[in-house]
Amino acid sequence: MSKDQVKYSSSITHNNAKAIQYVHDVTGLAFGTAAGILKVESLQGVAFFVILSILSNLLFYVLKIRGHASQYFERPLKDIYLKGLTRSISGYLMMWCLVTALCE
Amino acid sequence: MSPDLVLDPSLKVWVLLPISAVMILVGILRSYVTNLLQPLPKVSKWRDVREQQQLQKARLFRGNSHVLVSKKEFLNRQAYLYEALTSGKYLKNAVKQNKDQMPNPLSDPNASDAMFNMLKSNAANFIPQTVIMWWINYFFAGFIIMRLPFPLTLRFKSMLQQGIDTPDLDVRWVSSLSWYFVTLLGLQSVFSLILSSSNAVQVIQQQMPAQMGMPGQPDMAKVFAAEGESLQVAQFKSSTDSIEDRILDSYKL
Repeated sequence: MSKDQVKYSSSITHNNAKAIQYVHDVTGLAFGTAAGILKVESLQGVAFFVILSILSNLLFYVLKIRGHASQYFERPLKDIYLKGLTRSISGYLMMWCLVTALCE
Repeated sequence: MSPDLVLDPSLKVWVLLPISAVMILVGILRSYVTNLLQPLPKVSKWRDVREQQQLQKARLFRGNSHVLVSKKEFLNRQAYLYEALTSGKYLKNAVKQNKDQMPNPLSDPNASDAMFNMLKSNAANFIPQTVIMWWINYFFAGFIIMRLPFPLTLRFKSMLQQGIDTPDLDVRWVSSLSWYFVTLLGLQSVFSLILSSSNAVQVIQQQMPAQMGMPGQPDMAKVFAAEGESLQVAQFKSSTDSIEDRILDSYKL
């Protein structure tokens, strides 16, 4: 109990959440730009985002936290994969639309 | 494949980019304004702090009493803390009177202050949004600015092609207002990249009042009495009890 309190104290989890959020923000915008430049359309674009975001999360999992997800996040699956999903999707959509429109 | 509609390339320069730039700049301005509207953290009175810390001391003692070595130490501290809690000499308004009725959160000046602050930050959030929406509707209405890279169902037509009277046009061609909606959602991550440090300050400041200014706080005298009772029934169990056996056990000797 007390060990968990130290491990998941709010300042630490806040910092870790910020790290993964930064990754989600940058990758969402970057993937959107890439999709726009490559002129990916409709369902291909969705697949593009899904595959790349799974890949980037996997890279974060392997390179950054080296597989010890439960050491850094209280609920690893939710905190890494689901929390920043809406933000990165909306960032992806925005850059996808913008760059597609600009590249026409 | 020939495109079914050709857009003027100057639409990008004169509509798409200005809207995006205005959205970003207004978002930055909004975050600075909300930062400025944040009140300075209040300095709490020393009696309040003492009351909180006395309670915390008792709780910590109850949680960590196993680090004490002898039972005598434990009993001494237990007796002292019990006396301090039940006599009420560390209470904020020491043993004056027992107000039984809860204070009304609406009449409490601190609570109304917090509500006013919430109102201010809410206003700072949605006033610029309505202004920008009006501006876009006024300046850029009635023409199509871009083609979305994904198809949408006809249901979106009335929203995304507002003011364009071509019933057979594909929903992919959208007007400026839909670009506004897309940026409204998508710029969140851009803002958190641009304003990362000030956002962190905001988060901490949002968490602080949630702990301190809870409306309708419980009567501290009762909390103290309850804590004293649970302190009295606490049992002493030192972590050094039968330590020899446990060490021998752990080495399997």
